Amino acid sequence: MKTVRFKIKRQQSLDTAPYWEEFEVPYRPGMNVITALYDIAKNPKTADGKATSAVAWDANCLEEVCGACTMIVNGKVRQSCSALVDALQQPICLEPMTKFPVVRDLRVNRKRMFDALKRVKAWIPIDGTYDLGEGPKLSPQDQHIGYALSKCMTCGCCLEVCPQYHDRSPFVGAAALSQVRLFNLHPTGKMQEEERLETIMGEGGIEDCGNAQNCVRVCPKDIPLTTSIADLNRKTTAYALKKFFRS
Amino acid sequence: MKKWVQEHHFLIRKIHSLLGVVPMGVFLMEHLITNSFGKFGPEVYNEKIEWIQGLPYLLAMEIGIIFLPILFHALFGVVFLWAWKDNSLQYSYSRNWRYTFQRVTGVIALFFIGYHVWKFRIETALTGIPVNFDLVAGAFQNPLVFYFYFLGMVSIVYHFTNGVWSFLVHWGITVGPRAQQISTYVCAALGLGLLYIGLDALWAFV
Repeated sequence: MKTVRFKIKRQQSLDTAPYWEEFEVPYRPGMNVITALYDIAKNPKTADGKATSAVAWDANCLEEVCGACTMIVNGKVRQSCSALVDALQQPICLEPMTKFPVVRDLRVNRKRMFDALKRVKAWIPIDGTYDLGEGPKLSPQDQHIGYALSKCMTCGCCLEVCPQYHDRSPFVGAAALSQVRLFNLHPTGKMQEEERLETIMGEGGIEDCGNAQNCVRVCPKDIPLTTSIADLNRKTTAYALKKFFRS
Repeated sequence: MKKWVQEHHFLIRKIHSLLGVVPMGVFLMEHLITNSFGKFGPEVYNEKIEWIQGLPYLLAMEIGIIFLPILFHALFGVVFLWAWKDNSLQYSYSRNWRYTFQRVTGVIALFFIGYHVWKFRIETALTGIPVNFDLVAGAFQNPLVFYFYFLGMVSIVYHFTNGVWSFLVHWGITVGPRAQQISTYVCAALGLGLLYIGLDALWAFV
């Protein structure tokens, strides 16, 4: 019987030491890393036959639009649902992302990403004490840019590869910065443009980008992250000058 | 101090970036050209040095245009290293390597400039030894000093020209990937040109 070999980095909880276990699962044509993890969960035995606990992982949409199953597959961060076994070298090495606290095994807590979205006010306030009516129209050109930016699924690939993003640094990272560009592009969101720019002009904001530009190389949704950052560099610079000369 | 740095984060970063180009980058280019007078022999070189040493307000210019900007750029450059967690071996994209080299060359440049300023500005001022062609040529008799200058020259030219590339992104001048690609070529050409001028002048003193 043809089998597939996996090497998985496991960890019981955040404060216990990680360890490696190898697994062997039956091969099926077209299988991906997630289907193999399901097979391991059905029969949690290591490759040398020892009983072990099932490997924990996160997954949701299984079509690379939710970002939940992001992990490091053979040394490169990506979504495991779209990681086809046929295209991977064996043993397939699975590790949790390193920039977020491990919950268990391959499951990490990406709360920091959602905190970053809150910090940069990545939403459009539309509530009023009366009906505000329709907002201004969005030009087709801006729709085009906005669509590309709206594909972000908060998966964390851009942060995993960012040399400026880690537990010592307060950097919000490329994903949240790009959302500032998205919401400032929207004609209604534009009304809070300066407020949003302010959120990224302090410590951990846009100035903490080191221009290594790894983010744009690994983004599974091909979001022009470095263009977003450079665009925000222009906007924050112009805003800072305006603020200085008008103060 | 820490609180002040946190509150003025944006301003400090922008000043740090600006100082790297003006005045530091402009001074670097001026300095490399002045060095090149060494190619015309000791007499021409010494004459130019004397001209510079005879400039009015020299000390004020040295402090205001050279010393303080370098001190600010170096001090905060070292502080910013705190946020550097390298992964160029794992994700070996060319831009990632350039990010890494920017930091490595910055640290080398700091040690080099420290040595260079001590040896040819402060020590000579304290002891009264004249700064001229022979002093430089004499220092280069020691191969270690010469190789250190070679390394320092390569590091500083890289740090400046890659820094110009980053400056253009950082100030929102080159925004899209095509503009950034073209600026890569322009900065690389500037770097190679300055490297030629810098190294050619080094050899004039051997």
